[in-house]
Amino acid sequence: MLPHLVYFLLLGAFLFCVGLMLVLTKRNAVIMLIGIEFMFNAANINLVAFSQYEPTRLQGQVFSLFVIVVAAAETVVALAILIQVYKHFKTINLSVINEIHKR
Amino acid sequence: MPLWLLILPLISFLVLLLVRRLPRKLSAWIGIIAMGLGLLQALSLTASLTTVTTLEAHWSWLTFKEYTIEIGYRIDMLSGLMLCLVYLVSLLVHLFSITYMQRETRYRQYFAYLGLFTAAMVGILLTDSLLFIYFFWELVGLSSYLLIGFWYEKPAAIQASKKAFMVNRVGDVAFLIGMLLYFLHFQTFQLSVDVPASSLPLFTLMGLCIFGGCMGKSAQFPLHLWLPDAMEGPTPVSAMIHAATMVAAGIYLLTRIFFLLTPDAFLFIAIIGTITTLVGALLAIPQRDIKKVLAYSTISQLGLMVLGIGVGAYQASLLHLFTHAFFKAGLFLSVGAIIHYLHEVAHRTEQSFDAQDMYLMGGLQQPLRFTFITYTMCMLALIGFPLFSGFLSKDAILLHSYSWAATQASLSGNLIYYCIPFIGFLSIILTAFYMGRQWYLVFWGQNRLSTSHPIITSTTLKQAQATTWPMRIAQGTLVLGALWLPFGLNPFYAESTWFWEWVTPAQNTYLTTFIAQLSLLNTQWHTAGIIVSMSLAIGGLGLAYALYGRALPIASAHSSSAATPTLYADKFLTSKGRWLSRLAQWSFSVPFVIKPAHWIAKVTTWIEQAVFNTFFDGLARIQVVLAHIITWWDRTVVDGLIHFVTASIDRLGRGLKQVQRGDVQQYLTWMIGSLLLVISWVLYRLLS
Repeated sequence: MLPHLVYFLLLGAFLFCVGLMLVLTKRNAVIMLIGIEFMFNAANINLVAFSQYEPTRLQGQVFSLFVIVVAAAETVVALAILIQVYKHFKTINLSVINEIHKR
Repeated sequence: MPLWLLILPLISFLVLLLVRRLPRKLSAWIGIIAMGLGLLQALSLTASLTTVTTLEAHWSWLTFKEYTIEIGYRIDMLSGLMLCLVYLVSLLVHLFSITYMQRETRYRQYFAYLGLFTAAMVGILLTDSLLFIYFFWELVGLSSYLLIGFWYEKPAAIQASKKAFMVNRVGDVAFLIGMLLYFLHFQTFQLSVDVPASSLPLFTLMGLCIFGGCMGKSAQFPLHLWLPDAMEGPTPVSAMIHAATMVAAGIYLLTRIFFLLTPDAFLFIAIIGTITTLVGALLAIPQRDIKKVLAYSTISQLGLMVLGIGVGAYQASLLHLFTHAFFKAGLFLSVGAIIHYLHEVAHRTEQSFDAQDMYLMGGLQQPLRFTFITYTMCMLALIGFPLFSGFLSKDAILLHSYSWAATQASLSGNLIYYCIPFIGFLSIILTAFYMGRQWYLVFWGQNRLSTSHPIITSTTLKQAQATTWPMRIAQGTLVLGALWLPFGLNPFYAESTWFWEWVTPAQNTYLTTFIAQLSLLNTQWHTAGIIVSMSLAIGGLGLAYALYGRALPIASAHSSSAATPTLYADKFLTSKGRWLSRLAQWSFSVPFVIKPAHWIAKVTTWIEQAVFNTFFDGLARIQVVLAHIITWWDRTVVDGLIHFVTASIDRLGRGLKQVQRGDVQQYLTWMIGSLLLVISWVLYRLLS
């Protein structure tokens, strides 16, 4: 017997909040990417949890696999951009590479 | 092209003002060449005129509603002659200044200001519109301010220039009011309108208001305060102010508005002129400063001219303006030569003393032979000695005033009108007296400088540079104008001068009948008038000789040889020094002559200081208080409002700037926060 759906959803919400906090507060771009991954995975947990309502088609599990693949691709692109940023600015600290807000 | 007359001095002004690093000699010569060309132009222009023709051109300058204000020039015989006079005197003053200002550091600016002064005066002469006369009138005021305060290191010079400017401003306000009244009534500023025969009170007011401007510029009685103080400026400038430019402007304007004057206005003008003549002559007597004597003398002579206009002696007054310009400029340049010489003595012996103090002079006819001659000739002209030009014009005015008084008295039966010619004749004897006093104090006797400064001996006096050739040319040319010959062949009849033929009197509807009666009387009294004025002049000179000529004993070396000039002079006044006491005793042994004059002079000085100075002081104080109040209002209320608006906009901008500082995470926070708000709102609506 699976645990109740609420626990999965709570876990997903928790992961999502952790990811969001990382994205909003951390200055390091890599940590921000990690935060985004957290949020993806929170979504995946939700997808998987909801798929128990149709055990025959497994739509949620399959969709979460797609999400993982697309997220990996995105992360590759993002890391590539970050490498370019690092080459240009010699840092990946977001508050340093901000060019609008020059004092 | 007559406008070159205006442009030439302006070019001189602008070039000298703007071009730095001009060699000293060149800067003087630029001014001289500009004035020389102007003089040639003015002469050729005047030669082409006849008594009736005029040179004029007008363009419309401003049009509003149905009024048109015209800009233009109009040169008739009078303004042509005046132009020649202004340029001639200006040229000679430029020449004289080469030497006089040789130790001056701001040499270039000095000549620039002279150019501006000339330009302003020429502007007054060229235009025939009251409005433009007013513009140039103010420009004359400005340039006189600059020149009187030229030595702004001296506090007295600053005070004097301010005083001249402020006192003139009082007159100018009256002029402005008169000018606007004129415009209200005639709808034009041009000085060629037909005056209706009926005498309106408005015309009296108008004429007197414009006369107020003349009172300021020509230093008439209540507004004469500025002129003696204006002596703080360089002496050639005094010559220019007193002869050709500033004070002449007032008389010139008065002749230009001659057609406008009503009988009441004439009477008022005559009275003011009479008072000025008397006050000027009385105040000239006790002066110590060599230039102040001449300054008060100018006031007195200007009073005589105004008196002449007041009694309708148009040509005589203008003739006096011309002759006075020559001999007064001559006198001032001679005095300038004396002062320059004494400065040279001071420089050579490294002594310091007041070079304008007459008590320190005496015996200067030996080293300054040429100046002695020019001074004497000009002095005789000023006194009104026969064979000199001053006699012609002065006599003409006095005769005219006498016949005017006689006619008025016979018309009204009131003998009080005789006061005016009486005071006029009295001024002759006073003039002769104070000029004689100055003559004896400066040129005769022993030099008193060596008494207070034993270093200065007669040999050092001889060594100092006396006059240079530009000074001699300037003085010599002006002396020619002090003789009768340049004006006419007959030295006794002003009517026979060329000037009299050339300048025809302006028409005045109120005077035409009156003048016919006058000319009859004029011829009748002529010989008597000549004899009276001659004997008065000789009497005044004789009195001066009696008091100051013989009574100057050899200056015995008195004990405190290191006495400063002021102390020395105090001894003269308080009769403590030895020879000085003898002189003082001698002077005051005729108390009924000297004392009343001194007393009246003191009273008039007191009145001048107590009443008029206080009055104008009060006016100025009120202005200052008002200005402070306005400043406060401006600072706190007007500025405060603007500061408040700008400050709040600034604060707002700073606040809004924070939102858009390019921080992606901040954007995200805002986005998610607002998304949460929307979601919670939607949920709230769904659930409730």
